[in-house]
Parts: sequence; structure tokens; C-alpha cells
Amino acid sequence: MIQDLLYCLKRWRLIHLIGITGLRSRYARSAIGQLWLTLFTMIQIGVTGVVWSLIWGMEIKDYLPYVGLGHVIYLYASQSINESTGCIAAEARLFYNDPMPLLMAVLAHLYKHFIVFLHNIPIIILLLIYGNISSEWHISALFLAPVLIFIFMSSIFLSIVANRYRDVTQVIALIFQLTFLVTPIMWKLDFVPEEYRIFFLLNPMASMLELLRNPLLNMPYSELALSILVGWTAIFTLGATWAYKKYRRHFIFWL
Amino acid sequence: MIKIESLNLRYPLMGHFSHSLQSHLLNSVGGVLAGKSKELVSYVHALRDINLFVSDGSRVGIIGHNGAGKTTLLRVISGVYPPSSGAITTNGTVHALTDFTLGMDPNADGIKNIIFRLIFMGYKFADAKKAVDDIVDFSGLGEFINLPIRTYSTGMYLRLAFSISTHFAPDILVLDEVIGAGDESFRDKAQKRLDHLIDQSRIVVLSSHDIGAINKYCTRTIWMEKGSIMMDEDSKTVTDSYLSSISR
Repeated sequence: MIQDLLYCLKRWRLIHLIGITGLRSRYARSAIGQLWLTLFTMIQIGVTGVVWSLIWGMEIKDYLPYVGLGHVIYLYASQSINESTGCIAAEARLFYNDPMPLLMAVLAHLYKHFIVFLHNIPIIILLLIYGNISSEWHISALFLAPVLIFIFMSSIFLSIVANRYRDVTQVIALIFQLTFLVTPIMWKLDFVPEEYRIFFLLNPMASMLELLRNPLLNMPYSELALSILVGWTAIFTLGATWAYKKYRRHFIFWL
Repeated sequence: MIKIESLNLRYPLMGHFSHSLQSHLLNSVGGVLAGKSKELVSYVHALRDINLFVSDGSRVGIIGHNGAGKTTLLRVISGVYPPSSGAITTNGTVHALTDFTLGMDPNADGIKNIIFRLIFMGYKFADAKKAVDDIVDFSGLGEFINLPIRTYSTGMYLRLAFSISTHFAPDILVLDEVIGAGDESFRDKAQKRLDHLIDQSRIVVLSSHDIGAINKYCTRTIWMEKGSIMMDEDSKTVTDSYLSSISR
């Protein structure tokens, strides 16, 4: 796996092109192009922010940055992982022509979503300025590494398994639909009775938000979240290593 | 040099249930309960006991009916399909031109597509940029090169793809059918380019239904039938027996 990773990184140009092509075709003939990405997230956050701050009876100045940051981070992570299930089949032509590690498709897919995430970073900055928050961004930046590794490993595992067993795609999509409800994006973990909080944190998406969002908003974060995320990463790393070994060359027959 | 020793290839035949985790789980649970489980995945024996030695400088043709295993063999040679048993050793880098529009993006203009396609073929941005002028020149697309290629006609599109894909001569060239493109004026140019390409490559493996092309380019030909090599001799002998077997 490491050898393949190095090979793919050496061919970074290809990762870049495959990743960008997906985005370009989506925004090819619109006047503001990829600004749609940013606009789309902004509107979504704006509307949810206003509506739910009324529902919860919370100050919009506090609530909007909370829900906004949560959305941006959750969208990035969930789309990266959820859509990884189709990423190998999407690049089938690439694999039929030349011998190419399947990791290439995963890397290009993750690269594409990371680019989308970068487009949403200005929103994060705007929200932090709007909320007048003195953020502990260096702590979040530190936690970005374990989060990225988690996304990487789970995507490798799911992309291979879903390539072999196509119904996994549906199962994962379903799981992510439910995950949105049990992840503290619109609501705060404090709303849950204390003895139940740990169960919500067991959800890797929740612990990820705890680690990335809370320091940015200068909110306390649970150190348990880091252990949970590392634990999940370990599980997925084992899964990814196993799946990669088993299907490294044979995935082509299941395309 | 390409060396293939008693190589077999079986690949899974995709059906409705072979791809389903649900069926697999049900099957293994049901298997425990009912004591017997049916096989969900069936396999095709696509290549049977292939032995082949291709020395440097060879021009090898592959002929055979549809489904005889020609493309499968090419994919094994390219390294796309891993053999189920046996071994293949290749000395050199294989360049397959089986999909010669791979990497092209209809929404980008011709120039960009030249670069994209070359990156997909494994070249660096700098090399690709240097090659642009020559390729534009060869393609003869003139002003059209600055338009998005979705506006091209199929002929123009293939002409550009051909010009890019054949720009650099590969080490070991694998071709699935003779490639060519364009109208009368371009066809001559393309023919010359292909001749040059085949001439420059250290090894060429060409699979084709075009017996004329096989005889023209290849000194040695393999006739494949149901996944095995039926005959492996000089092109004239093999194509003659192949043709007579058809007319019979």
C-alpha cells in the first residue's frame, strides 16, 4: 500500500487532473464557476442558522458561527467518506488502459473534496469575524492531521469494499443520512443529558467536529474525542490494509 | 522482452448476485442453516495455459474471433489483469494505446486537452507543454485548437486524440486494433505516423481483425481460439490458415 501511495504521489499531476476535471465539468458553463460551491454553502448555512436560532431561542450571533462551522466541516468529511464508495468505478477507464493502483482513484476523489473544502474556508473566516470570536485555530490545525488520516483510511476501506459489494454503497448512504441526525451540527452536545453524551461522541463524525470546530469557536473540547477518533482510525486502517492486500490487483475484475 | 509462462486467467462473471454483500451474507448464514450453499460467483476461464516469448524487436500480431481472448491477453501484457496462475515478466515499459482518448475533457479547449492527455500518458507538465506546438501542427486543426473540444466533430476529436497519443514513441507498444483517424488528407499522415511509431518501438503487440494490417506490420502472428493459442508462427502462415478456416 505504501509503495502504491508513493507511486501515486509521484504522479501527483494525474491526481490533480482527475480531481479538477470532476469539478470543472460541474461548473464548466456557469459564469461564476466554482464560486457556486461557496455560495451554495453560504445560503444553506444562512437559512439553517436563522431558522434554528429562532427554534432554539438562541442569539444568532452565537448560533450562526456554530452551525456554520459544523456544516462546513461535516459536509467535507461526510461527502469525502460517503462518496468514496463510487470512486473506483468512476475511474474505470483509467484502470483498463494501464496498470494503475486503485489508490489513484481514492486520492483523486479525496483531493477533489479537499479542494471543495478549501473553497469553504472563507466562510469559516467570515463567520469567526462575524461572531467576534478569538479562536484557538492552532489547536484545530493540530487536530486536522488525525481527522485527515481518518478520512483517508475509511475512504480506502469503503471504496474497495463497495467496489466488490455494490450494495454497500446504499448502506453507507443510509448510515450517513442517520449520522446527520445524531451528530451535533444543529444542536449542541450540552443539550443532551450528561450521562448520554459519551454515546454521541462515539460517532466519529461527532468527535471530529468536537476536535475541529470547538477550538475554532473557543469552546471546550473533550479529550476523549481524540481517543475515539484514533480508535476508529485504527479500525479502519486495519480494514483498509486487509482490503487493499486482498483486492490490490483483483479489484479490476469487479469494476 | 515479454515472457509468459503457463499462464491462466479466470475472471469472475458479473451477475446480479455476485456483487451483492447481502446475498453473500445470506448465503453463508443460509449455508450454515441449510447445510449447503450455492456458488454465487461464476468464473470464466479466459486464458488457458498461455506460453509466449516475445524478444526485443518483435512485431507480434494477434488474431482470432470475437471473445477468443485477444483483448484479455493484451491486458495481461499491459499489466492490467493479474494472472490467476503462471507468470509474466516484462522487460521495459508497456504503453497501451487501447483507449486513446483517455483523459480528454470535452469542456476544455484543444491545447489544454493536449496537456491533459499527455499527463495521463505519464509525461510531466513541462514535457507536455513543449510538445504542444508540434501536436497542434500535426493535427492540422488550426484555429479550432482554441475551442472547447465538445464543439469538435467526431472526426476532429479523433484526429486530435490520435495526434497526441502517437506523439511520443513508446518502448513496448500495445495496440487493440489499428488506430487511425480523419478524412482522406489526414489518413495518409496518420498512416505514416503509425508506421513510424511501430518502427520506433522496441516491441509491438497488435491485436486486429484486419488481416491486411497484421500482414503489413507483424512478422509473427498468434491465432487465439477460446482462450488458448491455436497457432504461433510467421504472419503469412497463420493468417492463411486462419482465413481458410473461416471460408471452410
